[in-house]
Amino acid sequence: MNLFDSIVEKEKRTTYTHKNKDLLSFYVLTLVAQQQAARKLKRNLLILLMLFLVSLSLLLSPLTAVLHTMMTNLASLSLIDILEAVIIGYGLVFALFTILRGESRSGLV
Amino acid sequence: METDAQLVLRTLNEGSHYYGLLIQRHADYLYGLGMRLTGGKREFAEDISQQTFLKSYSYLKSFDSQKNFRHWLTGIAINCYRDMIKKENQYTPLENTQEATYTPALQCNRDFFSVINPLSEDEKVIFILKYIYEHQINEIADLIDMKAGTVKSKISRAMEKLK
Repeated sequence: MNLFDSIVEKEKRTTYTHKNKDLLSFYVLTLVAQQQAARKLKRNLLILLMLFLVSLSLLLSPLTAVLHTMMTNLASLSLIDILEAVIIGYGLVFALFTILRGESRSGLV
Repeated sequence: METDAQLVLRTLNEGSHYYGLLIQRHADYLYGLGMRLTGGKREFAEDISQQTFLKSYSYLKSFDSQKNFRHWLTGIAINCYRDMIKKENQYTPLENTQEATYTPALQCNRDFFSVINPLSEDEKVIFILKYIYEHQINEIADLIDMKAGTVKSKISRAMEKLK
């Protein structure tokens, strides 16, 4: 066995030991929690912003004109229109639910 | 005792507490790998292990439970090492390195570090994986995302340099 082999063999036998694994674990988990909290906050802010924009657009729109259109359209509503509205409504709720579920999972890890 | 794959699953389903157990289990291994890759630079080795655990947590969903967790961690650690080398000039340690986190009188083989010093970063990685951790060529190729032929040629080049 030459010198090179003996150095490699010696290195193989060398063990490197962490003095404080608890501290490392605590530090990493704290950073992970921090990242998750930041992601959650960002998502909540985005939802809040969207809600704000929707409310703002509703408030700023000509409300009487909207109400008038609604009332005139309500008179001519058929069963098909109601079914369409129900399907679209449930579809939107389902899509929103799926997105939020996906987001909450990605927020966990 | 729970296997690594079981702990990964529990981390994903029940929360990060179980990841702490994985950190405890693999901290020595990653620190040792970091020490060897960086030629005994403790601050680098320390940061490599921290960054590896952080990155692996964010990619935990992509971990294939049929594979070896330590092998998967090794791949991430090597990427962290490469990233750190790129940033070495503007690099600052993540926390106060004066803090006595690790054994001050750590046993390490200075001869080994000086032997591998002339090697390039890639050659160093390949050499360590092959001769210290005894990985097969195809395993190394998989870990460092290189073709097996390239790995072989890099090994022979490294051996020529070391002669």
